[in-house]
Amino acid sequence: MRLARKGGRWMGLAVLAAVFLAAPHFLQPYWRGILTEVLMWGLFALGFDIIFGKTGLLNFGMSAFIGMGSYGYALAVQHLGVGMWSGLLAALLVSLVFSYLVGLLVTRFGSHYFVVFTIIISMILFFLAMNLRGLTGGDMGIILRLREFQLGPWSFSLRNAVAKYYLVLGVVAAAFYLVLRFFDSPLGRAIVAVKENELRTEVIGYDTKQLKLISFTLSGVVAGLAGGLYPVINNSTNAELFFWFFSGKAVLWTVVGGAGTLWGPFLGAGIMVYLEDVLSSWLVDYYPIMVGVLLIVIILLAPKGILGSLQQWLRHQAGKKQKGDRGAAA
Amino acid sequence: MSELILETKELTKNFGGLCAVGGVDFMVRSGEVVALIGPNGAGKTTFFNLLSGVLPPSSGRIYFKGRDISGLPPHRRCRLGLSRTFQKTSLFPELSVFENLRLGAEVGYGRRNAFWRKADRDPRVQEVVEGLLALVEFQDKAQELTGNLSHGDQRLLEVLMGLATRPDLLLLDEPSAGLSPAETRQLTRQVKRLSQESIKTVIIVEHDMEVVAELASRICVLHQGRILCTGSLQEVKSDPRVQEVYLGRSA
Repeated sequence: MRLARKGGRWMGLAVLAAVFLAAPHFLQPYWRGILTEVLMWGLFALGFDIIFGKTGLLNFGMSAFIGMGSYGYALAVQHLGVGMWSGLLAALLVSLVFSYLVGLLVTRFGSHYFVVFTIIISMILFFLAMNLRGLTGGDMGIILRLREFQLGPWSFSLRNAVAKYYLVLGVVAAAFYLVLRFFDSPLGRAIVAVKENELRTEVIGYDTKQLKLISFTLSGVVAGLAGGLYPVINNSTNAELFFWFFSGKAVLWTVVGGAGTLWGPFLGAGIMVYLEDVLSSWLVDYYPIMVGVLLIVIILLAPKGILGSLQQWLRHQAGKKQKGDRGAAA
Repeated sequence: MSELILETKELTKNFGGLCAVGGVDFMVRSGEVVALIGPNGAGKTTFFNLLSGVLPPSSGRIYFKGRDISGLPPHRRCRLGLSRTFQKTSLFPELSVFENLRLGAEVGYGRRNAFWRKADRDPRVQEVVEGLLALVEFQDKAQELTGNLSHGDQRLLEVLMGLATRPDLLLLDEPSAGLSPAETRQLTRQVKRLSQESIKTVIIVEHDMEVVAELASRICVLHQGRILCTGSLQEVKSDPRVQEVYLGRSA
């Protein structure tokens, strides 16, 4: 039984991998570009899911991390003249230091103050980035000249959309795998325990303040890596990435897909970016209303998001079946 | 005489003008089962919160295994071997029974900080959890969500959670709260067996005198934040001050 389930899981993963590997060859260039972006946005929302869905802290300032990551990459490439890989490393380092320092400050607060502080920090960064035009380019942003990246002995052009797709897919998949692994480890599971019952977690020997800080930092690093991918995909970045609008999107995508599932943010980002694209072309003015209606429907019908509700339903079915089996045996 | 495992000196907790625990000198020797009784509001739970570090004391000191732990946060006290349960059940309702105990056992027997290995693949921790489940015949409930357990089962799990971290001293805060007489008897049997088998030192807060009589080797009566008297059940029962507190002046 358990073996069969495991086999099924591997099959599912293999199919998923095949679809994503084959996608650029059967998608039109336009949709290929959208899918590349969805992978990046999904990774960004995954960062939010780590702190919200897994830890129970509502960080409404996620835009700060994607902004820091994207400028970490763009400034390193522009001013230090480094390549794509070093640029991503810079994005990681900048967001690591930044989220650790912010985490030291905000994880001391109770939940309401935590939300307010994360918003304030992202707003301050937004105004700074908009006004320090010499450094950030403000809303005009920075346009990068980097056109190539190396992978082992091979060199690829960032103008090659297929190569770019595979690059983004590889980076996102690797980061996602590490996050999944982390939440299967004793340390990752302890973070989930903090969300479930902080007092009990503390009393059975876990340093809950430290766990929240670790989760906050990891969340920022993941969102920052997505930020590093933004200029890779767009050849540019701009200060608007710091705007709270993007924090709101991370929340929306995660809640639609299923908070705490880790897969949900990707699904939510995929659905919402697709809907935005389709609907906004003929319903520009009504699109925000549609999003609002959709959110209400999701919260009423599937409060745990699409994947969360599906999981719950499957577990319920499995429980019913088990009880049936037991009844039959007796 | 076995060695002292816990000692408090002049331990005090004030909430504004209210003195919940007032200058308590208390000691427990290794291997003892001490019952803490007293009327509602006597300060029993506050005393536990001070011992486990959930509340900081207003003044006074707490020594555990000879070490001053008065300023340590709860998780540090737990790692030193001081564990507690709650009067109001406090578990992880959305996690399985197994996962609840694994989280505790990881601290006592595993590597709680490991971030590279899979949590479900530590044979030592698995063994400990399975042992705990077997104690109360919970093997077939291991994968159930804790929130779906009956109240009685949750109370049992609450006690197991206290044991999972490998404590040397276990604080049980009214383990029988809300249980039927039959469930209380079962729980008492389990706790007695646990305390005998693993020679745990236990402090138990309890209202049920049958449970107290069954388990405790020494009884300590708390009243208005102060220790009224200490002794065997007979000594405590015949103490006029205790009768006054429980039955009022007229008796």
